[in-house]
Amino acid sequence: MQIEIHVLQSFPPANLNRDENGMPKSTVFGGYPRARISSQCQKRAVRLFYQQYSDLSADQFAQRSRSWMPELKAVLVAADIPDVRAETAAKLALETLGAKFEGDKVESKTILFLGRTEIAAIANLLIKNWAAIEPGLMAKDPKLPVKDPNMAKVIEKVLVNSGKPGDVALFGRMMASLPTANVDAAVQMAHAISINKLQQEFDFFTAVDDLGGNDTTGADHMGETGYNSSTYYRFTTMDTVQLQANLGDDVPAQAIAQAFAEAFVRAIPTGHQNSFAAHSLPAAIMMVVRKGQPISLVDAFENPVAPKGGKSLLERALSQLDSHWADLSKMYGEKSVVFKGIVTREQLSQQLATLKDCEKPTVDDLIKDAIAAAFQEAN
Amino acid sequence: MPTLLLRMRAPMMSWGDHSRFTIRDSRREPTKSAVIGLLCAALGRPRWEPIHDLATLRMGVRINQEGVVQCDYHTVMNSIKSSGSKGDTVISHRYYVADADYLVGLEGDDRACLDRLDAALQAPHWQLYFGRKSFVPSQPVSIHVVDLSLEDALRSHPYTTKRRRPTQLRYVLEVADSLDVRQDVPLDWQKRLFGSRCVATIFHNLEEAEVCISPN
Repeated sequence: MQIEIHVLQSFPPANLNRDENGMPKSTVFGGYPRARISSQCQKRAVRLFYQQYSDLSADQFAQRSRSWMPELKAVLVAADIPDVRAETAAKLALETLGAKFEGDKVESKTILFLGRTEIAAIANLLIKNWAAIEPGLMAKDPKLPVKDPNMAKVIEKVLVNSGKPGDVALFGRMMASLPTANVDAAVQMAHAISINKLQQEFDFFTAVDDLGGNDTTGADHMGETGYNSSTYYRFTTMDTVQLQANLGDDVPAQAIAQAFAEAFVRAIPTGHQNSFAAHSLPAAIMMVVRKGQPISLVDAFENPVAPKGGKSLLERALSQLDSHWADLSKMYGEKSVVFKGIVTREQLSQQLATLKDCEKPTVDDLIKDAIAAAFQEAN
Repeated sequence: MPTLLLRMRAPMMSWGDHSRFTIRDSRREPTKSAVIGLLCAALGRPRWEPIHDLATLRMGVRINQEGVVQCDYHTVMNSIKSSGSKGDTVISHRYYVADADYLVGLEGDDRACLDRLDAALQAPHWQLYFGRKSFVPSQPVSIHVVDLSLEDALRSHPYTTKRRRPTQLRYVLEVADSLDVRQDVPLDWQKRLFGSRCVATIFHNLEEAEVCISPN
């Protein structure tokens, strides 16, 4: 089952996601330039949000890091393993996952996306087999045993066969050096694209020296920050079958799916937020549960939306979304749709015609009903 | 010979066929490896299974709407720094085609096989995407199978647009021999082995296709 989330969200002047020149990212759609927030940027905001605010246990969280060595070492040291040997064993174990250490650095060259439970599982293996491992650590060129047991294989096995932490199950994992530990993401997230024509702006600013004397007039520093104000269409879809397969049988996928949906609605990228404080919530959220291929509704905004005839940008956007849904349903039918629901700000809901009868009172109701529909159907 | 028709439309799509590492190029139309990868995802056929049956289908693309090539600047940062020092940031430039729309045809002699592929596209086993996981379709991919040759199928499929109509459309068709060689025929996903094929680019006046103006 696919759980689609469609969001309309306005941001005041902001630079949430920058390109190499420090300008807000952009693209072209419908023949016009549009503001853009990349999927990578949104996914990170979503991950951080749900790690902070969801009720899930910390076992479901994972981190992308190069600094797993101290973490792993600490678990070994806590099990009474001497400091130096714990460090060597931790390094060797992480090297079997493709991490490359340079000299005495505690950081590996590659980033590994791992859960703390996975680190704990590796530590457990090392402790359990410590009698076999220890002699190899004292050699000039320390190695993990390759026989009885073959530690690299055993570590690989625990990563491949055990359920994955929620983060990894949602967003997937790619390990070039250990492809068997790869995980196919359950979540697809589109780049958010503005429904209005992009108007890129520059903020010229100066910094004044507070302690400067009377003779120092003018600015001590001048600069420019790019920004724009845009209303975005954001879209994501989650495959419940893939999610459950990634998590393993022991963990119910429903709670993870719910936490993800809440985070997607509420998470906001952090780029330049200290200067812009563009913290706004979505004006409309639609959720669709579908069998088969998910469909983005971005084509509703192929013609850029503008305020017109006394109607605001959001009002016009919502009525375009509504009629696009009606068009698609007419062309392709709604056979694949298991559930559809929408929540909008009250003043906007008058714009709905086709989708009027699937309105939900609150965002919480919408998410709860959609998730329930997706998992009820699956069972 | 029957032809399977696919619609490939999304705000962003990417069709790399030769780039590696941090600069990822994109072609101006779908590669054969991308289309076959899409079919494998729809069928739920894992990377280690053979793909010869799909790779032998003859492919052609009608470019309904030429996109613009854009670049996405992408950084990968280290999120935890236990040593307090800043880690190196990995930077990559990923080119993509924005605002394009394609009609793809796959011609083969096994009608039943093409029908199976069409059915799989309607209820795909794994999620479908165009070049990168975040590039999600904005129209159903499946159209149907027609009893026409590749070129006829592509030319006779109705052309719809909300924009100003171009006078002619570009077609990129797989041919037996030409100087335009593309190394995008998948042989083995796991080993990342690709064979080559020849393509010809032709243009047809749009009047030859049935024109229909619809809201979509």
